[in-house]
Amino acid sequence: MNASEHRQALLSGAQSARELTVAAQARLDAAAELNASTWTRPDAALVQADALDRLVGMGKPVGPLAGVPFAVKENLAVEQRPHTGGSRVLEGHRAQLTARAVYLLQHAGAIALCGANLDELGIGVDGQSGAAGPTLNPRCPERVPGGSSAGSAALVAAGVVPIALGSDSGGSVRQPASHCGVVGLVGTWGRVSRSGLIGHANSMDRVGVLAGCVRDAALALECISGADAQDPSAAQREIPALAAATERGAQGLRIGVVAEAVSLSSPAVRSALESAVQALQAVGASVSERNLPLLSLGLPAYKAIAAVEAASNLARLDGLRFGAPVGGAELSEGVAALRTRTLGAQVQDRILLGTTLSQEPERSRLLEPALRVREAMRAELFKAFGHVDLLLLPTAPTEPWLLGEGAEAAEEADLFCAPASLAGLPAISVPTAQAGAPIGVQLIAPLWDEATLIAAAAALEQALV
Amino acid sequence: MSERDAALAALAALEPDPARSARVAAQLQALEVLASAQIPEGVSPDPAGIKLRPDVVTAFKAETLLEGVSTVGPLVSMPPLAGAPTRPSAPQRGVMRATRIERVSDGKELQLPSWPPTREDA
Repeated sequence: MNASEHRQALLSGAQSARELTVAAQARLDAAAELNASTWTRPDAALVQADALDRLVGMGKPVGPLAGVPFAVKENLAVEQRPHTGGSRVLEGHRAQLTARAVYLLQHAGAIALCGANLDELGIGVDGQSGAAGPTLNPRCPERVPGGSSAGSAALVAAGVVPIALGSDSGGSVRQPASHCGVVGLVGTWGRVSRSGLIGHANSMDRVGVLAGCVRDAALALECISGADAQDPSAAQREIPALAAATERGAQGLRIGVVAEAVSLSSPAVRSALESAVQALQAVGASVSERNLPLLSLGLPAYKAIAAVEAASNLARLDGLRFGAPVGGAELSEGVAALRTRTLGAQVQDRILLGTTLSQEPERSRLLEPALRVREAMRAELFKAFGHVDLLLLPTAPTEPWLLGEGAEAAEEADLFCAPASLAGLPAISVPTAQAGAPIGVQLIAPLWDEATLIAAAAALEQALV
Repeated sequence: MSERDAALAALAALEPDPARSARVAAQLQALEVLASAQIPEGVSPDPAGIKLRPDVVTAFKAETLLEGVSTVGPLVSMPPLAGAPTRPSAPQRGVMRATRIERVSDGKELQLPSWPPTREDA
């Protein structure tokens, strides 16, 4: 059932919110082998469901996501629930507030069902590095689900929830969506408040949505958008009618296929991209090639900038205020011992890389060029949008790789997601109907034009069925 | 393990680990493509990462935002390896940010950290 069907079932009296919630909890229990969730809240969820049922019973208006169960990536806070970001350094920590995005979904009538597993602190591309253990890909269990929003993607792909919240710095919503065969959507940087998010690369961190279909993703993004006094980067802009945009179609839209991405993709991904091009042409879009000469430099630039930001942001994880307590005679030694003992190797590497890049000579030699690449990449993208309405490229260069393999594929996993991350552009991954492992294609829109993005994505989705 | 590697580990608030330093050296090598990148002329880096919006700047001190919210932090905050640090080390900065989070969790009005940190922040 998608989100609209949940709401319709509730309003028609076919099922109560309590029944919908109990059914979702049963699906979650049945999917336990995926290791996709980190906590559940059956009692609290039922309290919210009962309140919703009372509203419906009294004939009161309910929100656009009434009765819809959703999952929350565990780096987003839900009051009194575990909030570790998938890291042992925050073991035992419980949230003392609720993230703005979670609050807004609940305000729209959706019911927070569970926390979703993730790569440690949102750093990872395969869903295997979180403290709660590896997540399985429900569509192809022998392959990785992608990351870092692995649990969110897996729970949607398994049909446990129609909607899940994720976070995306370099592709962490879009890439697992592609690997699990679901929709992954991020709005313009600043569209959604990050209050309550354990971020690591704040100039690129975004809260996004994973969903079973474009309309559900659009509706959820519409609900969580808007300004927030607790996040000065959240924009005070009019929120577009994104769910309605799914009815607009793609007739007359100009789509630019990023030419450089084709040669950097596996044969299966190229085939998926070709099917998307044909589908968009079939619904009336005009498709042409566009060049993005800096494409291959986007990923190293992202890695350098994200590492430096992570080194700064994750300095707060020192055991002094929350998480595992610091011991030892000297404070600095105790902090270093705690971080070395409790942070995973991937995160420690990222922190040390960022620390090194912030020092000379690496700063002048590598970081400053990375920042210039970022500006040049933005200029290239903005120039492209002078000729086309949207850009199209694969979400990832390869299909999801086999568990225990794919070190090379992992290094390049965010190659096609990095440009939109560096420029803060809205982007969506839409699953294609390829045989074999799931493969998604990505559409990128100009700043703040999520409505056109959604219109094209919905038309593409329908044409690919 | 070199003296510099040990110093970098300390700056990162981690214990020294030669294996980790070797992995990071390999990652740095992979980033060397940036050193020789052909970047169009006239492009200068934006140290804040994302351009600050005018309404945000009027609401908060720009330097506070640069310090704590939307920036490539270490570019402006981390001390050099040699010489006396003029700003706190990474763990000390962490204390200041944690203080801010606690205030939010207490349900009180959000207050971004001032600079230099007040006695309360410390």
